[in-house]
Amino acid sequence: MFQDLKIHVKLLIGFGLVTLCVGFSGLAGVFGTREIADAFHTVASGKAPELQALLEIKSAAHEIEAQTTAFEYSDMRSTVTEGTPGAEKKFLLLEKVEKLEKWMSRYEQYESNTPAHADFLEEVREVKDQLVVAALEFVRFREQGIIEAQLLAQKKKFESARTRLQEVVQEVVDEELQDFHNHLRAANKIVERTMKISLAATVFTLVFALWIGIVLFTSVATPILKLRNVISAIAEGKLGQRAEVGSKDEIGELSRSFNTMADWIQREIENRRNEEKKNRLILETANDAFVAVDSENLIVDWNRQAEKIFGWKREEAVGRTLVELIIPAQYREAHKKGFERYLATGEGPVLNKRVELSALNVKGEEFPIEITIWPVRTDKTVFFNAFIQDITERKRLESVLLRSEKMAMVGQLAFGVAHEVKNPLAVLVQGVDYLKQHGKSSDKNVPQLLSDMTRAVERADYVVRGLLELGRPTALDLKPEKLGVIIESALLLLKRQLDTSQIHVVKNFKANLPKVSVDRGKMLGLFVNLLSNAAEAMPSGGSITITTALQKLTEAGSQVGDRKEDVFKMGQEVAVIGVEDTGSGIPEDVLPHIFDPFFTTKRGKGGTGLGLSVARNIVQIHRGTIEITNRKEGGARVTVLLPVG
Amino acid sequence: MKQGQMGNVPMAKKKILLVDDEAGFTRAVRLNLEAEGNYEVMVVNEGAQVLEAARLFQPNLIFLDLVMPDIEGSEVARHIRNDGELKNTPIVFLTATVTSAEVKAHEGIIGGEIFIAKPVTVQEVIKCIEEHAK
Repeated sequence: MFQDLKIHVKLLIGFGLVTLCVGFSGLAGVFGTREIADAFHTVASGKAPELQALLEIKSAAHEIEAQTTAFEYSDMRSTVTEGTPGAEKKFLLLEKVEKLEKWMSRYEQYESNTPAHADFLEEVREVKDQLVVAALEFVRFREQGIIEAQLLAQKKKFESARTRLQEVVQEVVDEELQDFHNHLRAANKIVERTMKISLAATVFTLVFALWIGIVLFTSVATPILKLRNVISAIAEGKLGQRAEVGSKDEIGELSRSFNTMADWIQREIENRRNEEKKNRLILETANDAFVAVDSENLIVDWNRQAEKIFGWKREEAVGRTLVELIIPAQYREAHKKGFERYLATGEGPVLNKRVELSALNVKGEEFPIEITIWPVRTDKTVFFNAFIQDITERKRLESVLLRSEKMAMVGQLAFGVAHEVKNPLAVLVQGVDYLKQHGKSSDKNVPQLLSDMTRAVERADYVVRGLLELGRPTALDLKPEKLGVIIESALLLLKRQLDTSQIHVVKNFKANLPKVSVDRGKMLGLFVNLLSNAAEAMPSGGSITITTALQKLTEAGSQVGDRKEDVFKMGQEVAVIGVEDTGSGIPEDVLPHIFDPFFTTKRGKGGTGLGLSVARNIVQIHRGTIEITNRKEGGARVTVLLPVG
Repeated sequence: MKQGQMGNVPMAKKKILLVDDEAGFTRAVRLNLEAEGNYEVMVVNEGAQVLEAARLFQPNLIFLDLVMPDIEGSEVARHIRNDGELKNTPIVFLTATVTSAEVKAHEGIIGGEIFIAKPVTVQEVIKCIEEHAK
């Protein structure tokens, strides 16, 4: 319950209790002292004068006794001298008696209420009177020279009175002294008791104050110390530590608030760590090399792909310059100038776009790269981040494709030329045949000329056939290939086009698709052609879905393209490659002509009209089929079937 | 359209319809075949007129060029085959789009169709007629 109170209340209660204790202890002292004072006052103010009077009475009684004793031995007879010793002695005795009476009446004032003392005074007075009478009688006898026997009797009389007076007074004095001592003892007892109470109060106050201190310490200081330890632990990075919330006071509130703050910090830090981890993972698993340099041109980041492409380990690369590691000698000056210019003006013509350059690997070999550099400005400095791709393979594929495309162009050209040349040759052949058989000429040179012409036509035909052979695609280089790999190569070649048009590629490749016997270069050309057509159909972005599958043919029929039933047998296993786009599809009037040579919708925009006819040619020479349909959902689908096995 | 000459010979001559936009070629082929004496030849130089001429002429065989300015030979062949009277008339594609080597490799039949590659000699034309005319 105490735990639930606020600290200031706890402190107030603690100090209040201690103050109360001290107060009680002080009061006990005060009351004790007052009692002692009362006791001694009683003794001093009450008994002391009474006792003094009594002592005076005793002294007077004693003096009377002494005076009367003197009577026995003094000569009281008259001499020649004036007056008598007896008279003088009587005067002295009476003086003593007066003194006694004076103190007795004073004593009477103090103890007038006590019958015992009244009795005592009565008796003293009586005895004194007897003594005085006896003494005065004795003096008279002595003065008169009375006989010895009478004198002796009188002497006995006042002697006994004298003794009796002594006894009575002594008795009362003893009694009073006893009483006085009793009072003193009582006062001493009060002193002792008061001392004990004071001591107990002091001890209690000390113990209580100590207890209050301990309670306050445990309820106030202990949680603070614990909180301090938790704060230190968190400061050292043990983010999971939390303060104990044991009370509802300010420390409890502080602990709760602190825990909330610690939760928040932990969450933020963990989020940030996760974010960093994620970013690092993205960077590390990126297909591109990631390299960052600071404003001093020193490398500060170098991912795994960068290690792979350039051959330098991260720890070797970080802290060094790009010039040292990857920039070929011929570009170093330009790099330096570009860097300085950016720092001076904030401009850089190669920044924020893809640039093809060449770079050096760890062995000093130069190879083509594609690099995108973007500067990141912070408040104080600037970093340059770069994504880099090794485009050696792409360059090689591009050259393969270019050659393949060139050959296809030559083939188409040769075909056209041959056709146009062979028609006139056909006229010549028929004409010469006729003249040879049926010409009626007497000129003897005619047969020779006609045979020269035949040979000339044959030679022209031979040349044309040679041209056709040249244009004819070279013999198929069939090898078992993975279609997925070839499609990936085609995507690599088209990466820039796809990225620029913001086209998302979805790959639904069948796992473990059997290898298909194809000419790799020609197939590459086919897929580049189909994917490029799909991309061109979506100039403002979209997605291309590439599917590969294995299928047993069960149905015939086709839209536009080859008739499957002419090429395959029912039940034959084929590899199916589908390329779907989300473009506008193909107009119905265009669809029937789509595979015709020289047919193009891109006339004047770089289209030759040969693309799809070449594509079909490639499929046909692989004994496959190709068809194009419009999809219900929009866009077009190209389906290529290739024989398996 | 040029009408073929009608000779009075005891044996019925084979009627050959020759379709090609190259007038020099059709003239020379017609002269050669007619000089042989066994063939009656009609020449058509425009694809669009083929159907009308064929119905009139009722040929035993049609030589058809593939690449013509007004209409494709394959289109013409489809029209002929869709015609009730003419549908059984043999069609030979006489074209420069194939080579003699290809024709030879396929033994004259490519994709189910009879082909002869230009340039072609008279002997080859006659051999083809004798082989395929109905």
